[in-house]
Amino acid sequence: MSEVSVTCSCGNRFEVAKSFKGGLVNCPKCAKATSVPSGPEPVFLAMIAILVVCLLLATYAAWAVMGPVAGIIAFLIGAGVVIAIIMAS
Amino acid sequence: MGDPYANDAYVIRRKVFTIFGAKFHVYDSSGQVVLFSKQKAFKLKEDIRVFSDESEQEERLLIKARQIIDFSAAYDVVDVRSGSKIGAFRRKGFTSILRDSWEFLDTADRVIGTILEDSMFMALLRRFLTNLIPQSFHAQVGGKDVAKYHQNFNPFVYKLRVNLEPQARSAVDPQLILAGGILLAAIEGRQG
Repeated sequence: MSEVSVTCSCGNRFEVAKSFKGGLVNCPKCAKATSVPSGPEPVFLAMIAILVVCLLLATYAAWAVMGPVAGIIAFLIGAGVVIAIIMAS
Repeated sequence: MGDPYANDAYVIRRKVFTIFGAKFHVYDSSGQVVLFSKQKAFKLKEDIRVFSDESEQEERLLIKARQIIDFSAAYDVVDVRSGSKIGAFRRKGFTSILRDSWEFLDTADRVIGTILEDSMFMALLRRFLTNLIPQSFHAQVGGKDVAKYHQNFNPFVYKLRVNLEPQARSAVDPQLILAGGILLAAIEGRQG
């Protein structure tokens, strides 16, 4: 099974199973809970990609039907939502 | 303040009128608040903090999801005072569609026990007839019953009674049992 490298705040470096990604493990040296890097989450990245495509389509539709101002407003609102979701992650 | 984990019976009550996130009070059998839990708002990855009281000055437990989107979500539980992870819970995604099922994991992610909704029949009734039927869960570790979780019938305020079995402390850390109750209240209680 592939492993993930973790560095504890005590300086100890160790490997843990991939299933711990994004979670917490106890450092074998100091026994303190240490964060395991999560790396990109494929499902989440796919969701963001779909959202970006929807944002571009909505911008195009608003621009084509109601004009450039509506297009820019639609883009700004959509971009705000996407950025908020990324920030919350 | 005494040991909040010394009791064998608790009530976890969801705080009403919370605008963002969710808050829970944990009462002991004498009705005293022994813990206060707060689920962070605007977090895609579940992050639940447990404090000694509502002042949030003394953090006791941290319950944190590993992934943002995870069908079989795992939640690590850390005893903040010692700084060590004491175990984890994993929701069994497919099984939980029909009957809520969780696994107790030790610090190395080995399955040491389960938390199961009371019966398949009742679980199906709750899902397909009415979710007004209160949920109950049985927790087992190493084949021994360690706790029972019973939701009170109250459509307005979510309350979960937690009863530790006499042999519970020899089988599992009571902090993990309470963390399980808070997780059930936060995750399963949200679906009700």
